[in-house]
Amino acid sequence: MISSKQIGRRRVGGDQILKGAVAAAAVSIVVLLIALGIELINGSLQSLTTFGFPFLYSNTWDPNHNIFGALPFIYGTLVTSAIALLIGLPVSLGVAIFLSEKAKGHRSVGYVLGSLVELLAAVPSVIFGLWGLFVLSPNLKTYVEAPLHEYLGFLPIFSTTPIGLDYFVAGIILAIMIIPTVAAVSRDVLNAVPNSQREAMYSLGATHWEVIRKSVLPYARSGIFGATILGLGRAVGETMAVTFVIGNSTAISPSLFAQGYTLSALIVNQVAETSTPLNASAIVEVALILFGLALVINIFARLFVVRLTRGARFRA
Amino acid sequence: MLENLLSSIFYDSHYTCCRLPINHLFLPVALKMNFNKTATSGTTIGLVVVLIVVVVAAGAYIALNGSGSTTTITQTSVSTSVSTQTSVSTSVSTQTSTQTSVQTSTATSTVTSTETSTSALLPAATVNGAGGTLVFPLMSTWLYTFNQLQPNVQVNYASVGSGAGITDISKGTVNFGESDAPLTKAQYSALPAGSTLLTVPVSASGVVPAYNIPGLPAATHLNFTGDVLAKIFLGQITVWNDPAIVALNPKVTLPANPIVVIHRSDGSGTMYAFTNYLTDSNAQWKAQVGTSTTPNWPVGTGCKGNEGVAGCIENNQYSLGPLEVAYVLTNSNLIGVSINYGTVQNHAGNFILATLADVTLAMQAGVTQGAAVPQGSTPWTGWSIINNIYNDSTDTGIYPITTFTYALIYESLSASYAGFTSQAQATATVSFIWYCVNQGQTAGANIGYAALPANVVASDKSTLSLVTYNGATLLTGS
Repeated sequence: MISSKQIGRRRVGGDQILKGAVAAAAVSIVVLLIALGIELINGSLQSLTTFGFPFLYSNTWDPNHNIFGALPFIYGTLVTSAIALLIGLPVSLGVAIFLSEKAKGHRSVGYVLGSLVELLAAVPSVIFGLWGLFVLSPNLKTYVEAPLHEYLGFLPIFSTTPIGLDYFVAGIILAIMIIPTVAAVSRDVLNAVPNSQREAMYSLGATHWEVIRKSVLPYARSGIFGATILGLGRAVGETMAVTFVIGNSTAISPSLFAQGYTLSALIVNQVAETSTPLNASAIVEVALILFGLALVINIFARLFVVRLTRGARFRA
Repeated sequence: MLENLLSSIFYDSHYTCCRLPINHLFLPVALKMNFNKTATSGTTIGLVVVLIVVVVAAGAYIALNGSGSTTTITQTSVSTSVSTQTSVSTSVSTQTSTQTSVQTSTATSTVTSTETSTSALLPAATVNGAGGTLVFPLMSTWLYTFNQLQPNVQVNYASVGSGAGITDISKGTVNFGESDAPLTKAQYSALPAGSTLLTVPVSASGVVPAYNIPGLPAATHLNFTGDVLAKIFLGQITVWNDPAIVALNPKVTLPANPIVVIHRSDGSGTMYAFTNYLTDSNAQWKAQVGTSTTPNWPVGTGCKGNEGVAGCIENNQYSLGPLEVAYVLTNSNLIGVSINYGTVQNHAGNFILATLADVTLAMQAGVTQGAAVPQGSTPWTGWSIINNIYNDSTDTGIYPITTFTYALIYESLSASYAGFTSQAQATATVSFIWYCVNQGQTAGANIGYAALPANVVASDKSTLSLVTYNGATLLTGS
C-alpha cells in the first residue's frame, strides 16, 4: 500500500532531481564557454607575450623562423564572409519570400522546395569543399572570373589572373553554405508575420509585392537580421570547404581573384605539424581570435536585434 | 481578383509546411513512423519508392556477384514491407564488408606467405602509435598483416601528422611515434629528463615535380634541377619558356605562359623533403625560406593533401607542384593524362625519372655517403638522405629528392614516461617496428613505397636491439 503522503514526497523528490539536473545542464554551458576561453588564453600565452598586440596586424607567418602574425587570416576571413553575405543574403531572402508568400497556394511545391533547402543545410562541409575544388572552381574560373578579369581587369578587385582558387570562389562556396540556414530561418520568421498585417495592406489596395515590401519584411526585419547573423557565424567559422578553395597563401591582396587564407583554414592546415611550442601557441592564438570574432558577432547581433524589436514595439 | 487573393490567404492561414527536416534526413525512420498513418504526402511516398528501388537494385547486384543466400532475401523484399527492407540493407552492407576483407586477405597472404615468421606467438598486448600521414597507407597494410602473424597483438596507429606524433611520444601518450622529419633541437629538449629517444627509418618516399602543360606528349618528361625549382618557387622564374628551363629541355617547345605554382597547404613530410632539397640547391631559398613541413612559401597556391595538389594541377593549365612518388605511381588514371611529372638532375648529372628502384638506390647511397648515420641514441637533427646524396657524384642512378620516414621509440621503456604497462606491450611494440622494417617492406611496392635496402635494415636492427624494458633486451632472434 502506498499512502498519499508517500506519493507526495516522491513527487517533490522527483521535482528536485529534475530541477537539479536541468540547472546543472544550464550551468554546464556557461562553465564550458568560460573554460574554453580560459584554455584558449592559457594555450596562447606564450604567443601573446612574445608578439603582443602586433600579432593582429603583422602579416608574416613563418613557422620555420618563428615569426607569426595573423593579419592575412583575419583579412581573408572578413573578405570571404562579406562576399558570402553579399551574395547569400539576397538569394536567401528570395527563397524565404517565395516559400512563405508565393508558394502558399501550392502546398507540394513549398513542401518539396522547403525540404530541399533544409537538406542542403545538412550536407557536410567537406563535400562542399570537394565539389568546390573539382566542379565549382574550374567552372567559375572559366565562365565568371576570366571574363571579369578580361573586361574589368583595370579594377583592383579583378586585377589578378584567376586560377580558380581565391577569395571569390571561397566566398561563393560560403554563400551556398549559408543560404539554407538564412533561408530556413527567414522563412519561419516570415511565416510568423500575422496575417492581419497583410490583410490591412490588401484592404488598402496594395499589390502583392507592396505587401511584402512595406508590411511583411519590415515586420520581420529583426528576425531576418538574426538569420543573417547565424549565416555570418557559419561563414566565419567554416573550415573545410574554404580550405579547399581559398588558395592558402599568406599574401594580402585587394584582388578578389588572388589567393588568400582564413583563420580556420590556417588552424586545420598547420595544427598537426607544429615544430616549436611557440608555433603551437601562435596557432592557439589564431583560434582565440576566431573565438573572439564569433563572440563579438553574436553579441553585436543580440544588441542589434534587441534595439530593432524595441523600435518595432514603439512604432506599434 | 481581390476575392481570390483573400481566399488564398485565409485558406493558408494555418499553413505550416515542412517543419520536420528530420523526416527527410532519415527516410527509413520517417517511413516507419508514417506508414500506418494516412497523412503521408505524395512526395514522401515517391522518395521512399526511389529509395526502395535503389536498395533492391544494390542488393540484387551484390547477390548476383556474391553468394546465393542474399538472392532469396531480395526476392522476398520486393513484395513486402518496410522491416524487411531494412534487413536487406544491413545484410547487403555486411556482405560487402566480408567480401572486401576476403579480398584483402588473399592479396596480402601472397605477400606474407613468401616470408616465414620465425618468431613465436607473442602474448596479448595493445600497442598505440601516432604520427605522420605520409606513411599511413603503408602503415594500414602493416597493421593488418602484422595482426595476421600475431593475432594476440593489437596495434593502433593514429595518422595525426608528424608534429603531433612527436608531441605524443614526448608526453608518453603513445608507445611509439612516427615522423617524416627527425626531431629538431627544440623537440629533443622537450623530451622527458633522462630519456633517450631512438630514431628508426621505417620507409621512404620521394617527391616529383608534377605539371600540367597542354600539348606536351605523355612520353615527354620535362627536366628540372634543384636550382631551377627553387627559383620557380621563389618567384624568380615565372614563365615556362624561361631560358633556364629551355636550356634543360632543348628538344621541347615550351609555352610562354606564366607558371601557376602549387604547393601543399597542410604541414607535410613531402614538403619537408622538397624544401630540404631546395635549401641544398639554392642559397637564397636557404636564407629566405629554409627546410620545413610548413614553410612560408614566397609564391604559389596551397592545396590540401596530395589529392588537393593533384586536383589543383589538373584544374590549372601551366601549373607546377610537388607530388609524392607513392601518389604518382598509384594514380595512373591521372598521370600522363592531365598531369605529368618531370625528371630531376642528380649530382652525377643524370636526369632521373622517379621510380621505386631509384628511390631505393638513393636510400642505399644516403646511408653510406656524406654525414654518417647517427647510431643509437645520437640525435638525428639535420640529418637527411637529401643532404647526404646532394654532393654524391659516384652513384649515377639515384633520385635526389628521397626522404626517410621514421619510427620513434624510447631506448628504455618503462611505465614512468613511455606509457608502458607490461613487458608484453614493450615486446609487442619492438616486434611491430622490426616487422615493419624487415618483413613488412615487401608490402610497399604495390602502393608506391620503395623497400629499405639491406644496409638500412641492418642499421635499424642494431638500433632496435638497444631497446630495453626494465633492463631486459626485447629484440631477439632474427
